This record gives sequence, C-alpha cells and structure tokens, in this order.
Amino acid sequence: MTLTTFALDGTAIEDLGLSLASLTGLHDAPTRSPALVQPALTYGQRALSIGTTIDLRTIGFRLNLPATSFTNRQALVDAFVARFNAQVELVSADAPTRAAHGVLKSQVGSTPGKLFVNPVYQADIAFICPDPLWYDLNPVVTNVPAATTVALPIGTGPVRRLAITVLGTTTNPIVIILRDQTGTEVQRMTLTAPTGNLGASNWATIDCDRFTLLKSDGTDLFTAKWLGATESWFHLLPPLTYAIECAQTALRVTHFRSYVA
Amino acid sequence: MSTVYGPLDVTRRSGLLFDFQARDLSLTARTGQVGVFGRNDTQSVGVIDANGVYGPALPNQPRFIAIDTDGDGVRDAVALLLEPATTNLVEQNCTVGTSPWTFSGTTPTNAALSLAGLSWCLFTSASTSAARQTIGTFATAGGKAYSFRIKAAPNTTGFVTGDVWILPVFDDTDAVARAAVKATVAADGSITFTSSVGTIISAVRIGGGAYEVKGQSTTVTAAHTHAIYANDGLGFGGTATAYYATGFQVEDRSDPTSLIVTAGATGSRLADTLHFPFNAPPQAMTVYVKGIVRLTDFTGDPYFLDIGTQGGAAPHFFVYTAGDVGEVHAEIHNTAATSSAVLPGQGFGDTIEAVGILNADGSVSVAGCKNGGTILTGGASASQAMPSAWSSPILQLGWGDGGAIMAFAYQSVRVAAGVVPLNLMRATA
Repeated sequence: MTLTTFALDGTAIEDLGLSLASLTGLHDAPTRSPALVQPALTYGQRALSIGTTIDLRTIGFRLNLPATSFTNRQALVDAFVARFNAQVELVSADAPTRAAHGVLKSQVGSTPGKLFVNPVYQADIAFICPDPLWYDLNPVVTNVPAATTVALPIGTGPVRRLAITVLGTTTNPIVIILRDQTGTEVQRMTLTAPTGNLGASNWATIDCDRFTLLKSDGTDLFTAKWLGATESWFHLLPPLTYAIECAQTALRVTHFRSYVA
Repeated sequence: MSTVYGPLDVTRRSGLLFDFQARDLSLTARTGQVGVFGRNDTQSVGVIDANGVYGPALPNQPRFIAIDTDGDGVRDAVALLLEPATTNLVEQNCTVGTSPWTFSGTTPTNAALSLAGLSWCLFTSASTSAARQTIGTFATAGGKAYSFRIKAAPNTTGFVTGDVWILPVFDDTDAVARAAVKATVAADGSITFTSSVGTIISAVRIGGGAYEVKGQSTTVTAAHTHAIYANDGLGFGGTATAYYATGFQVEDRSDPTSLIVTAGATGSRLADTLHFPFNAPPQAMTVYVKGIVRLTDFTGDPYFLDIGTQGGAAPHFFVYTAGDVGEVHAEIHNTAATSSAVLPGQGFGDTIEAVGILNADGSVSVAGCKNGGTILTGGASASQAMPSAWSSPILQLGWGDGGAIMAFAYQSVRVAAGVVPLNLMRATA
C-alpha cells in the first residue's frame, strides 16, 4: 500500500470508502507560552528558560462520504466512527514514516445535498493530540561496537523511548558516555555491579523513558544500585547532535525521533 | 508550569483479540499477551541495525532487525526475525587468511578492515591466483544456499575497479562451479552483481558502502568435496586486483539465512521460537500477518501463524505458505480439514500481507497481498462446525507441523473478531 493522503491506525481513509476534502494542523508548530519575568532595573521581559507550556496539536479534516444510498451512508459513517473509540495513530502522506497520536475531539456531519434526496455526506473531524509531536513509526536501531563512538540521529524535537541495551560482559564497571557534536562529553552512566558482573550471556536494558534499569532475567539493577549515585538517564534534545560509546562492551541503542511540525 | 511534552503512548485499539507490532521492540503485544521466546545460543552478528551494521544477539534475545522494505536503501522499518536452525559450513568465514583456507596466490590479510560490525579480509589476488576453502562433503544433494559480503578497496584515485569472481559453491570433485557470481566494481565503489551459475536472490547494501549477496547454487552432488574460490583462475578469472570480502556462508538448505560467524569449526544457530497465550475462544475471526519473506522454498508448508496448538493437534486455525510459488493458505482443522488459498507469488525479500478468515459457519477464506499491490482473495472453503475450544490456548509464530520452520521477519500480527477485509486490517509499519 502506498499512502496517498491520510491514514487512521494504518488504514488509508480511501480504504474506508472516504475521500479527503481538507486537512489542517499537520505542520503547525505547537504554540508555546513561555513563562516571562520582568528583571529588576532592565527594560523588557525575559523568558524563563527552564520550561515552556506547549499547546496540544489539533488536526482537523473534512471527509467526503460518497454514499450511494442512505443505508450506505450509515455504513460508511459506522466504518470510520468505529476507528475513533480509542487513541488513533494519524499518518499523513507528507511523512509516511511518522505518526501523531490523537483522540477524537469532535465530529460534525453535514449533508450538502438535499436531505434524504442526495445521500452524499461530509464530516468535519477534529483530533487532539495531547503530545503535539510527530514520532517515528519505527524506532531507529543502532549497534554500537565496544570502544566505538557511533552517532545517534535525531529529529527536530526531543528523542523519546531511548533504550540502551548493554550486551553481556564480565567487565565491571560499564561506562556509557554520551557526547555532543563537538566530541564533548555531555552525560555518562556508570553501571557498577555491587558484586560479580553482568555476565557474558546476560544483557541489561536502560530505559530512559521509563527510568528503569533491568537485567535480562528481570532483576531490577536500579534498585540494586548499579547506576552511579550522581548520574541520571540520558536525554537527547536538539539542536545538539549526539554520539554514544562504551569502552567495555557492545551496546544496542533504540530510540524514536520526534518532529515539531 | 506544565510538562514540556506529554507521553508517547503506543496505539491502543478496541476490538482486536491480539495485536503485536515489532516496532514496539517488545514481546508484549499491545493487547497484553506476553510472548515466550527461545533460541538458546549466542549469535555474534545476529542483529543488523538501521545503519546496516551487524551486532550480537545473546541467548534467548529476540532479534529485532532494521530492514529496507521499499528498496530505497534506507533501513527504516523494524521486524522481528524468526529463522530455522541452520549451520554455516564455512570455517573461519571472516578470517580467510587462516587454515583451513589455502591459497595458490597471495594469502588474504585478515582483519584488514573493521566495518559494518564485521572483520574484513583484504584480497589482492590477481586472476591467476586461487583463494580456496574446502568446505567439506554435503550431506544431501539438495540446493545449497550461500551468502558473502564484499566491498570495493580504495586506491589513490578512488576505488580499485574491475570484476571480482566469487565461486561460493565449487564442486572440487567434478571441477565445476555450482554457483558463480561476478561482482563488477565501479569507480565510485558501487558494485553490481550478475550470476553466471546458480541464482542471486538478494544483493543489498550494508554499512560502509559494502554489500551482502545471497543466493542459491545449482544442485550439488552428495559425497563430493566442495570449495569456495575468489578470482579463481579456473575459467572465470577476475580483473580487480584488490577488494575486501568476509562473511562467507554456505548452508545445507535451499535458502540463505542470517550470518553466522565461525572460527575453527562450522557454526550453528538454533531455531527461533515464539508463542503467545491466546484465550479468545473459537469464533468468527480474522488474522493478519505482515512481514518480509526470507524464503523461496516453501517445502513443508511453513506457518506464518497457528492459533490453537503447539503441536498440530486439532482444533486449530492457521495461515501458512506452500508450494514452490508461495501460495498463501488459511486452514482449519476441526471435524474436518478445510482450506482456502491465493497466489500472490511471494519470494525472498517480498513484503507479504496474509489474511486468514475463520467464518461463522466454520469455513475459512484467505487474502494475500505482495509489496502493497493488488489484494487477492480466495473463496470460502466448505463449512463445518465451529470448534468449542482450541486444542490449547496459544498463538504460535514461525513454525510448521510438518517440521518446516518459517523464515520470516514479522512486522505486524493482528487478530480481530469478526470478518474484516485485508485493507482494514493493515497496520502502518
């Protein structure tokens, strides 16, 4: 299937018997409302840099239902409304490898033809996406050989669901270093086994979204205090670009890039 | 002050009985079932990533691989690779400058390059020099699968151009090549491949401008000794005076599987196995499987999916592929065995969507689609009583009760209640 317009949960709207009449909100950069402060003895306001309120993304589209009869009109309405009961993955032909995730906000129908004479129907539908970013549909999987620095591609928004799988080693500790585009170290995670080591046939997964550090047998290594006391989970945010390395063992890094508009 | 960004949730849909998406990188289906995976061995290069770089897979670690599904050279999709057990018959397959490889010309240099997660050998043999590896006596006379990796060697003006002949399966007893590949290296380092003997079934880019070539030999003779030659001097020749190669693999089966690195002995990989609990009772339902085919020989009727058994006991409902041309079948075994089939003509590397429908009257029907093309549908089979329960509450991927294991890179597996056409079962992947 080549996506030509818009898809709901992977199903092209044309496959639902519909056609797209208009579409809004795809490329809007979500409105930001930074907290402002008026510093003493200076002119003008300044934005506080520690956080910004960002609006939801609203995606609106008008669907044409080329119904052939009134009962067919009802069937077409049923077919697409059935897709709206839960969170819906929205994908546009503009970027068929990215998705926004929204829930139905409103659906307003109208009959441009003479009522109960012409069965053609139009539906104005709005989705709200609590997270306004577009995300990769498929994660980026990156193998990082031991003692090798490998770049991690990012989009125009923060990286999400960053997970680092540390592949089995008997070396202790394991030091994972994140560098920026200048080669400067920006963060590190040091995994130190209180006793023993990870083991050659085991792996540990650092989930930087869920803030978990789990061994392949289910052991909670975070609770077991493997992570350095002053260290934290990696966070990748543009405009920096990043590379990762580990001298002691190979890593497998998976992440989803995000895009603002 | 609100949070800067909200959560990224996976899609949740109502109405589905089962929904597994490989892009979640998890064996937990979106509908909650937790998969049980097994493959109790280490694969030193088991996973290929978005950059075309090989990386290891540890025992019982599922292999989520990055693949290029549309041929644009970008590995932008993720799939869960399930493969049957196999053995790479080639010893020292990434270190060919080592015994038991022997050479009449210049011995290749081991570890001349580290690229794409592999160690590469530099070959500097001219056409009169043979690089030879005896890989032993084959157990059967069936078709033999081969693969190798090759990269152009740089020189002061770009790359060493010319032809490289790789003979991955050469019958030493009869002195006849059973597979011969010509790799033509251009000035920009790109390589085109043509097969003189046997069949090339896949030649794709991997990391660092290298290529992975997979193919099949013509039928080989059992009890003969076979070898690998490169720029052989045995009638094929070769003009490129330098190139890198590694990852030679020959398997005693029809289709090549993923790379196994070997040392002083042949190397084996166990089969990947995966099943999920499936507690939904028999009912009118639709199963949907999407992924990349890694087979050309469907002998033994390997299954995409089987609901209701882990050993072939009835009642169970399954979708499988069969025949040399890759028909897609849906079949139910209860009071009778009935099936429906379509022929999308799947082959190695194709993206296949297969749908099996269990109708309310106990009949089955099927639909199939190759590479997003025309959706083909098969008529309903004879009806029979709907089973009251499955043989066991299980959903199994990648096996066949005839012993054939499906080699398939799963992107999406969905089961919906009711009868749903293929285009409405699709999952973006």
